[in-house]
Amino acid sequence: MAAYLEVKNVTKRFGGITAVRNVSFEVSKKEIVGLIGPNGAGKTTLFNIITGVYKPDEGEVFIRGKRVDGLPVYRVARQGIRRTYQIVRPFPEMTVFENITVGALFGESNGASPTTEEAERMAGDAMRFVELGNKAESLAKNLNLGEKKRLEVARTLAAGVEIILLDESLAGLNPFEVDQATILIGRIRSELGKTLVIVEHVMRAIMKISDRVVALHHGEKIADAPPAEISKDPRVIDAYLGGVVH
Amino acid sequence: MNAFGYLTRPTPLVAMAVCAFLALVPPLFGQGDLFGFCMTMMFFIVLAYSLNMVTGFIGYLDFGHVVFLGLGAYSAGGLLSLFSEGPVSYNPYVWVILSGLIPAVFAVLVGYPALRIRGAYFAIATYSLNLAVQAVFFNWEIFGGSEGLPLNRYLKYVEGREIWGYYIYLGAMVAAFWVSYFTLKKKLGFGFRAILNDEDAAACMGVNTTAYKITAYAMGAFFAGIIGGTYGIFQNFVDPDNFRIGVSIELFVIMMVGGVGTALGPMLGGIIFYTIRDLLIIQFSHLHLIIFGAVVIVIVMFIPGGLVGSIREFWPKSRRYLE
Repeated sequence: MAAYLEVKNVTKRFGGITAVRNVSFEVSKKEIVGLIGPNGAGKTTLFNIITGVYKPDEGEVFIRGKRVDGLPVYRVARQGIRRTYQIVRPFPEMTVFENITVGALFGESNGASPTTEEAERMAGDAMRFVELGNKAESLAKNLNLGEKKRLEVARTLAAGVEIILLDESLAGLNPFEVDQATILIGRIRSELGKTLVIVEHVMRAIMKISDRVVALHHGEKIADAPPAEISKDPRVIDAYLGGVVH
Repeated sequence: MNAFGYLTRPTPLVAMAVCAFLALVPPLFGQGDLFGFCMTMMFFIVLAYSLNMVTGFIGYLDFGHVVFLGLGAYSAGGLLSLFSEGPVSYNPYVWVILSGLIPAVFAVLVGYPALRIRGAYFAIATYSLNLAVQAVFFNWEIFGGSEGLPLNRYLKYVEGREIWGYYIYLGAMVAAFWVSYFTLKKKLGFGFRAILNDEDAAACMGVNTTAYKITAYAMGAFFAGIIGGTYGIFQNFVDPDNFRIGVSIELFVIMMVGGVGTALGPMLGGIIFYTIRDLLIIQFSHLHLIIFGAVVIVIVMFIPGGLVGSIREFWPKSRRYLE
């Protein structure tokens, strides 16, 4: 079947630096694809290109067969894609419930925007899914990091879209929270049927939940394989995972 | 919930009680000092509501907001003079509707490029816009240039100009409150608040930020223009002084005292601001600006969220009632 999300020969330069060079990959429906690589490899840049924040210098991006590169950010979003941020960006002066309601109100996955009542119901569902129900009335700025990250996930879920990009949703969490979040990400696919692309440095988690892992290094794709193969790939080990110390 | 149901909620109840009192002032107290006091207060309250729609809703610092007041005044007064030969036999306030629409259209045209810039740069751009438009009217002879445009020859046989002006101000205040109140409850308001909090994240969530920002800017321009048009006809006179920057600054103070981005804030802020200022002028005619400045500094330092914002900060449960 056709790819849900397709990145085709994408290149992005900032001045003299090529942040992403000729990268291509595809994501199928209900797949979880991990995106790994050292700092500066171009992972977040790739997210920004997919979501329309950056326009690629070369190449194309397709969401469910529709070309989206060059569209304004909000119109890319309306093709059915949402993201979270590496450095969390909830709306600080709004409550948890209001934050998620924004996500639901501007979700237009089935073509029509929901009424306020529908949006509030969808927001409630998403809020309970990430287990933030007891924080509904708290201002987002007063949450701890783990809660803020879950809030961002809830905001994307409430929109009802198919494709979700998670940018280091596990970074900065303690081991217990990492386990909880890993389970949550798995449930997003198994219970809600979403397609996920996740950028992550926590190898333990990414190897466990990804169907496939794409490795970037200096802006280039160096590997694209199931986790078991990735961890044995000499180029990935050399660039990122680190080999056996002799 | 129907419209009557909303009326029983605390915030609209307070607002409408204030408006009901203001409606009763002319019949009960005549057109004396209190009439003039209330009229000026409503003038500032509606303008604060209109600024709140821009700065309070989407967070763009509009230091040239008074440009819409001036444009509104010139829309009503200028069109009245262009289309009248002598004394008019109809109610001159019919021009007020155009004095709302013309600034709103102007806001859409200017907002499209101007709202691309953020923060202090937007503040400087709007400030400059106000100066530029003021300079145009200083030199536009058809509207009287720097001397302004006296309207007395058109309005001299019009009866009840003061009372009409009073009730148009009041009507605009009621409308500004309800528009703010419902906007904040609906999708439009959620989009505005998302932009206020984080514009880039809002766009990534599907908010058409450009269209939303222009909408907020045009809403603010409409209400400021209505007040400007009414003011021009009420005063019998429009001149480039309608673009006085000092008014913009007073509007910021009112909005901040009451509570930025809330539905009740501009009204409470206007009442407090104008009452304190009036008392200070009476008590300390020479020192009132110094004392007033100190009061404003204290308010901004200790309750930066304004009255409504601070109550909600210290007592989170009040969010449900204080909107």
